[in-house]
Amino acid sequence: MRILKIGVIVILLLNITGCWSSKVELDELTFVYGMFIDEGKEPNTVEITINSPLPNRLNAAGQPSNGGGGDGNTYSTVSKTAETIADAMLLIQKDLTRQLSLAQLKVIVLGKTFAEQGISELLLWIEREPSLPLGAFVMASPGSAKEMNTLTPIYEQIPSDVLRNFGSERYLFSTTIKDCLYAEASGVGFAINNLSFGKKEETSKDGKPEFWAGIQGAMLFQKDKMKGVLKLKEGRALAWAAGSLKLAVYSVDWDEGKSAASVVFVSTKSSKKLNKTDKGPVFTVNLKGKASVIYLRDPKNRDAEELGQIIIAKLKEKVSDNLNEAIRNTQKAGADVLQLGLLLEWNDPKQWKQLRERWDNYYAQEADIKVKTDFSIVDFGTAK
Amino acid sequence: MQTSKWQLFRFFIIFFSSQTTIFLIPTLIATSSYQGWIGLIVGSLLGLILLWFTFHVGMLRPNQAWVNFGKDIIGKWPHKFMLLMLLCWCVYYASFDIENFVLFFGSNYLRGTPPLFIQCVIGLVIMYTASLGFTTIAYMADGLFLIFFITMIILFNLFLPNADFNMLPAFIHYHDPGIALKDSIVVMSWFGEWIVLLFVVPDLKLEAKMLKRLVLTGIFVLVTVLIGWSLTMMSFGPHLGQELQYPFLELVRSAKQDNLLGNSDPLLIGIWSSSMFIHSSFLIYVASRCVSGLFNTKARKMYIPFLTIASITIAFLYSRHIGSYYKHYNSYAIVVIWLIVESIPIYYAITAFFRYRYKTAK
Repeated sequence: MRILKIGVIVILLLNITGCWSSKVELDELTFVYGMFIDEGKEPNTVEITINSPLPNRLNAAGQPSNGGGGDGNTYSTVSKTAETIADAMLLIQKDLTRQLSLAQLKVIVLGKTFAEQGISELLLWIEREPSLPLGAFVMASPGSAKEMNTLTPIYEQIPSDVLRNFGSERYLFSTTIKDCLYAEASGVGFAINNLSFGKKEETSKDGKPEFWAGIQGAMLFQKDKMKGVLKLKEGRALAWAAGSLKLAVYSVDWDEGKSAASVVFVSTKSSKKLNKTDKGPVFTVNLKGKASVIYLRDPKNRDAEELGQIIIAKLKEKVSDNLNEAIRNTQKAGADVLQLGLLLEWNDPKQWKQLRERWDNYYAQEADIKVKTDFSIVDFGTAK
Repeated sequence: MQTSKWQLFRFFIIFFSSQTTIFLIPTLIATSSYQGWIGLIVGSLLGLILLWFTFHVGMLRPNQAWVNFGKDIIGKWPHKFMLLMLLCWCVYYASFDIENFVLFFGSNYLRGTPPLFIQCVIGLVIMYTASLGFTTIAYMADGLFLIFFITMIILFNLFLPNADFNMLPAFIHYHDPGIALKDSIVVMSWFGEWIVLLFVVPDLKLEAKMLKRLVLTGIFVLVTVLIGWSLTMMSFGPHLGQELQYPFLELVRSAKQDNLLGNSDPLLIGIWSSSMFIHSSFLIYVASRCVSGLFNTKARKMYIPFLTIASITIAFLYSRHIGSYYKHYNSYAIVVIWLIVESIPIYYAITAFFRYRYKTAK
């Protein structure tokens, strides 16, 4: 009996060393870091481009080495077009010597025309793909998503890392796949970073042109469809209201431009409130911030208290204007990015029941949204 | 068996948590959205009624096993029928456990592994643990409890930043009595598996003061599930939440970076798998005691392999017909069957009440 027990335990232990046919060694995998999705050239097709690092081109210090063929990049790019996303992924896999793994996916970039047509197929595919991390960032390209993959990753190793950092550093929106799924299922909107793309003045060592990418604003979605874009200024105010903005620097001037100040917000918070009135729901978006003055020019040498009041008043005006403009634009586009529909669903079920069916229209045409700001200055920097 | 005061408390927490934390929460989100907490609280309180009856029946003869003395209360053949019903329930329930495990691992981690292979490996573990008897299972649960407790605190803390607390008012605003009633009954079937308490005797002697601790067990499990439910709701909302099969795992999947939360899935899976093994092993152990009661034999262990094979077979058939598995698992008929079996102590308690009305039990 004892021998039998030990035998069973040994057999079980042996099985722990690897799984069945799903057993894959690390060096048999290609980790996809970025996915770039465009509408295909033919109607009803989708073009997928993947971006993955090439471990054989990286030496111990993470610097490019001379192994392998090709142009010496430390990453590879493969692109295929098919009728569905799953088919396109299969076509990519078919031509690779290693198995694709989506477990390390950092970013998904959507091409503008693909976004306009709706991303529900992508979301449905993601939902059932357990290896894909829902925390990957989603961004948009103003033109083709594929061209984002050609940017030169100056500070990072592969283009996807650059884009990933745009999200994780929270320069504007840091929308993830989960946020998109959440908004789509809940019938509200969301915003993602709208990237910019351009040619650098300098060229690479070999004389080839180099490209860079940045953030030019936000792209607005309602449920699964792209509805419009916002410029950087309004995008920042909206990102603040949505609670995703980390870096907020604002400059204001007064005395007809003779005096000026710049502040960096060390804390940016936001809250949303719903007031029930006889005329219908009134939404209030409140932005809170603690500012540190990083630049100040004041020929009249006012005291700190007076200066503080002036700067705060000017900041309130500027930020409120930006946010009002942003909200107006989201209404024009019909994208409930601040998810006020959910706020109504949570706080006033009766009203929501009446408005649920026509919420998209109601938000675009009738929703009463007020903006409030609450700022304070925490310090004036190191100068007197 | 040497025992400390809180041993049963720890054992039953592991026994109940294995299923409720992972599988009850998505079911509840799908059916009752924002008002799931009402169903949870009412259902678990209803479950405590079943506990009271079970405990009452157990206390009729605290030193004897219910399998043996049950026939003195309702008669030999009715008692045998009850044992048979309980036996089938245990085997069927264990097959659900096994199939849940296969689906969970098959779809998330072991894609391509034949279900039968996973079923056989789990079956061997369950069979071995069940053959060791209640004492060993209880000690295993003891060890696991500490890890379970710490893991839950860590996980809930990691889940907190994802939660949108603006949703809290919705929990108060939504209250449809019809849905609440239906869900309470569903929850009762999950929280009412107290009948297995009758099988801790004779390893453990039931004492009157144990009831308080068992009630605390029910409340502890309720609080754990309630926290898990509210964090899932506040992270995914009812609309996305009802589309997800394993919300806790999705919370881990939705971590923004490779941080602690993103890497905590082995912790979650480890705890859940071990508690599931304890759950299934104890069910098979209970089934084996039922068989020995049915045939009036003392040879309990020899039935365990057959019972496990029966469970594996059902699970295997289910894995070949996934559609009917989901249909059965989520059907209201299953809830009713579960409640009929879980209410067995009530039949005994009522009969005992009328029979021993004027004299104390011997």
